[in-house]
Amino acid sequence: MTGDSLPDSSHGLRYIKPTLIKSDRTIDGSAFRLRPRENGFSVNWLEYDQNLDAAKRVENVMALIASRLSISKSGCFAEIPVGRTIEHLAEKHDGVRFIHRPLAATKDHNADSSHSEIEGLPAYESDESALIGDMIAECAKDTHPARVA
Amino acid sequence: MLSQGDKRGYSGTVLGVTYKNTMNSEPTRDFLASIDPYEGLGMLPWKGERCRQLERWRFRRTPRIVEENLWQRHPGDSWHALRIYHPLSTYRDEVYSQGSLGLNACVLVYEAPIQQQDDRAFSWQMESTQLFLEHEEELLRPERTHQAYQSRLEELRQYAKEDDECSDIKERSRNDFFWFVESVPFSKKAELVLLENGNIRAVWTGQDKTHIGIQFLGDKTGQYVIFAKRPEAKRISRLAGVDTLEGLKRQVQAFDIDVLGKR
Repeated sequence: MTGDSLPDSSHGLRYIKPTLIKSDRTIDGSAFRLRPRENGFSVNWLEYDQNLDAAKRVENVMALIASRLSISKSGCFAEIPVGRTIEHLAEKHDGVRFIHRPLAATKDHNADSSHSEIEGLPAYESDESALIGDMIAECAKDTHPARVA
Repeated sequence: MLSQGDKRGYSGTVLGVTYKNTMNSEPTRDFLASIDPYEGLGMLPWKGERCRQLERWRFRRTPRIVEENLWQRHPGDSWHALRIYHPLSTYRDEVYSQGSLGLNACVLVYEAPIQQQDDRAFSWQMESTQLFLEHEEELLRPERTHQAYQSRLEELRQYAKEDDECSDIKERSRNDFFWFVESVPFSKKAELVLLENGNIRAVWTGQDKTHIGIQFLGDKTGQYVIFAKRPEAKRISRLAGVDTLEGLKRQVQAFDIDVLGKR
């Protein structure tokens, strides 16, 4: 439901552009910082549709993201485990939450029921933002290569 | 002490050379002082071949000595680390020269006693040459790392061209990055990424979840993130901030993190 926290056992999926992926294919922490004028960090709830199996969920959500963003074949999608990330960040930064924020259809895009946001992250370009981004990267180890149609 | 025009001093073995390829970026005094002649690993060879050319040259065309540090490991021995300036014409085909006017180099020279050629002086010469040959692979590593960085930055530049939201690499960030890694030539190879603002971020990962991330901001400053764990500690220390690049090196040393190599 809109505004609800995602379950701790679930995952957020985020597209990572190639400039923020290291040569060893791990994700740099700078991929997990707020951008200018953002209050929430967009992710997509991987398990929003409980009727799909694990493989289908990833495919489905990747397609939803790709419908709204320009995807590079050199990019990837990173899974951010909700509960583990919140617990890990609590050492340095309290108040991080994963909130379900589905997007309505627009004239250019279909609705996206999986859309969510990580809220409570430090402000753009702050030193704390850099530190928390690197801590999130420690949790976001599972990735999926981007597929471009 | 060696001095310009003093040919008698230049009788030893050149162990290695560190260099900066522009007149405006010179090795720092701290780096010069950190060179340990006995280990022979504090030196970055310009290239193995050219290092030997310097050795053969033996400074007959006396370079301008900019700075000098002297060590005495044993009584009567005399190792000199010289910061010298060579005119570009001497190394015209040097790939790193990039049109700069000259080359500042640090050269390590052992000065044999001039009153006599004693056995110990000779053995020091032999030993230093042997040290260089034994560690040539290690000494050449910084140059290979430098080339890898160039390739990686070109790859990032291509990615940025395809991304409307990403700026091209900022020149001042790039310059500061290379200044930094050249000042710690035996550091582990860092992973590089390009932020949307055009700044380079370099990340070094060590053992035990040690982690150093530096966003090169220009003006010889960097935004850093350091994760470090002392052996006796249960938890990892995590800190972030902005510091000068020289200050950052001191912070890293204070944590005993070895990813930036020996001093």
